[in-house]
Amino acid sequence: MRLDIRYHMTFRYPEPISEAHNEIRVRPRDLPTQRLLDHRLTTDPICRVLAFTDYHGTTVEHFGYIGAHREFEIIAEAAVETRPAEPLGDVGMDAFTDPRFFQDHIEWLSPSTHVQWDPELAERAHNVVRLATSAQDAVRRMLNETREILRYEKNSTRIGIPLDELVAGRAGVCQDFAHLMIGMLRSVGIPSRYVSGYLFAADETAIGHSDVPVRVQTHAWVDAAVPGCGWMPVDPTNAQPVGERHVVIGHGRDYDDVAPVRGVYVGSAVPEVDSIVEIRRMEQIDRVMSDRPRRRGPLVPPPLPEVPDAQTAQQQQQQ
Amino acid sequence: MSGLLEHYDASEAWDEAIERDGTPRAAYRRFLDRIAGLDHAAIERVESLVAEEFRRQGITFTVYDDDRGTERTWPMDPFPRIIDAAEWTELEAGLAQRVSALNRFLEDLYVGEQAAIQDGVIPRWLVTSSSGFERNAVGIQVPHGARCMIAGVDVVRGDDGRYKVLEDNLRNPSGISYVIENRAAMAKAFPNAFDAGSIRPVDDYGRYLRATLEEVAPASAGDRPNIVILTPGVYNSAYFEHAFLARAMGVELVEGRDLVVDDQVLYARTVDGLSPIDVVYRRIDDAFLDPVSFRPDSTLGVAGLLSTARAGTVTLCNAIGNGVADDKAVYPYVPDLIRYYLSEEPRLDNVQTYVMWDNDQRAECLARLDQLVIKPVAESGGYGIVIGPHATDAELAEVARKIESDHRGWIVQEMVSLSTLPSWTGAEFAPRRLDLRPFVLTGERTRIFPGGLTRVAMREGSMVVNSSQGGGSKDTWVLSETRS
Repeated sequence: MRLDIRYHMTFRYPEPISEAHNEIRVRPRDLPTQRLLDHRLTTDPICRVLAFTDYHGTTVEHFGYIGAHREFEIIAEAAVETRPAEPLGDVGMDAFTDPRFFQDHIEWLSPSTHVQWDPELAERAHNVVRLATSAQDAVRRMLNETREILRYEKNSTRIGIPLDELVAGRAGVCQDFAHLMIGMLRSVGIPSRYVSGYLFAADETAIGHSDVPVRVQTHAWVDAAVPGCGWMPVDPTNAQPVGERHVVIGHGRDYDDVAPVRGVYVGSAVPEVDSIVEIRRMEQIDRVMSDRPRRRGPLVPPPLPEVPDAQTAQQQQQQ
Repeated sequence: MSGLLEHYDASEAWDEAIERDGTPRAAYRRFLDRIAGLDHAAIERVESLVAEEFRRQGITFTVYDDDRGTERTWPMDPFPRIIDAAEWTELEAGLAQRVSALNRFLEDLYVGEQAAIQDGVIPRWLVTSSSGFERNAVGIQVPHGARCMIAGVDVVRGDDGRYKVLEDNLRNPSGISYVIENRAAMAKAFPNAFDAGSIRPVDDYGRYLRATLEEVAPASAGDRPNIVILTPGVYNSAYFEHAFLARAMGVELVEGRDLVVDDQVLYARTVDGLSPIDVVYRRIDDAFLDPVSFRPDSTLGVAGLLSTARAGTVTLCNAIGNGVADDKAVYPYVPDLIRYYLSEEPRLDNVQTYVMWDNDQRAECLARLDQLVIKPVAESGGYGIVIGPHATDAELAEVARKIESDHRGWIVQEMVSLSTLPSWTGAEFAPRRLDLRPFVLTGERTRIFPGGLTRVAMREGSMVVNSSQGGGSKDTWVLSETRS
């Protein structure tokens, strides 16, 4: 499937700020299931962009702007061709306990910044996989369990909410579905990683069949390791198979490794941030650029304090 | 022996100055002769002059206790450690070899093929599970592969008289300023005993360090690279040292807010405008360096700093991510890393160390924890260490439980009976345990600073030398020639 993706973000500050720095992870990867045909990053004001591939293989684009400004705009465009994945093999549950497999996947089994589980959640997860007949079956059962616990609710949570609060609140968005499922998988010894990407669907809770252009946010799902077979992608937010409508940006231990935007600015003004992804299916080579869509998003980068305070003193002592 | 060493018992451990039969060792003979005629009052006078000197200069260190920092005057014992030239040459070669291999390892992990992992020298999981393995460092090149420009390697001497490495400090080793101040205080307070002509000087550290930092500057920097020291600020316990080093090198001491990154180039804000910076000797932990890539709440770092290192316009000293190589759980692999990268046998021994993820080693250790030393891999400064023979049954049971629940989190070592040296108790000279932290500088070539910081456990029988745990220090003399 040929998809054109346009990621558009605007920071607007009520008062001029003097400096801003960003590191973005929005460019689709090259993978057997997807080919990156073209990409372009534009910023306004214009910045020198440093692009590099990070430890996990994700393309990172880094840029900063020094000088008073009230608005900063980022437009990242990409053309991608996706194709369905080859069917993945399956193995018995005992394959997870192989010490070699465990050691090779330790980064995907350990707790990480946003994936910390308590014994209660681990016990719940153990009860789910006890009846599993195969590795893939265990993953599917965990997917269903995640959906038992959480219902989708827009703007219901903040990035980085602890898993126990998530379970108590019973609602979340795609990042939360992914973090919770990853936590449960890791707690029972199934390696799993967080995938950041785009979903070509009218809304992230369902796979639409319409081919009209959509306006969405970045999406997140989960890769679970099937010993000896590879990574099995699953999408706990909508429980639909991960296929040609999913476009991978990259993977990591959790959101922190693949956050679409990490940034700071110098100034006291809190920006209004518009962030929107527009995806359209292309039948021919010519690319049609849309009007600039506007929508309010949840991402607000933290300000950089200018004067040292008690926190600074405390950090200085921690060194 | 006479006078204040009359009752000295050199039999409880390897003594640096006195053989078991009471004969002074060659390196110490001249010093012992010089102090032979001194009485109790003379030594007390030296003691108070030393203390006065440190107080006057404001040379203190901080003990962090329940989050409250307490300032104490730096304690220095008047009896120096003396290392003769031949012994030092041998130790130097061992240190250079070790740091060279560790640099190769870091280079291999972060910008190489991870060959040591591919070839089975060290397991991948051990690396990826290390809290010091910094994923943000992957792909960042450092001139000459000198990722650890300033290393502090802690060595001890056991009953067999051989030096052993206790731990490698490859991130922000501190203490060099105390080495230099100890010497200055010693020369002033104890001039009769001080043998200036035959002792290698330590006051040119600034020149050593500056030469090293100039060598690792990016090619774009030209002949006179601009160097700064980046400090967390005045509240940091090592701030004194940061200011000291800036003075010694003749470079600016800056805080994060004094620097700014524009288009992957680093500048210092000066009264004349922005001035480009080529080398940053940073004394800030990785996590606080750059709020864009690390902790977003850091107020100490510089936004975009990492992009300058990645673009190759700035060299950070030490490089990011060195913590993986001084991870205590990686330490047992260092001798193999030396063999692997350098095709040489290690010149310095490790302390015999057991890893707890090996079922046999764990079972063996748990059966005799009361004879062993148990260390948490994530702590430094001596915190969290359990010394088997000195621990209660309850403490041993507690640490055994912790080991069982976290095999990666602990290492267990054979007890090393640290060597002793006469130290002033207020009444006489008595044997006290000590270690040594030499400083190894790596640029295009390796420079080892003569001597290092000798730390001493001031309590009788104690093996804990950390200044945060009641340790003191000694001036360390490297003789310019061998005595016999």
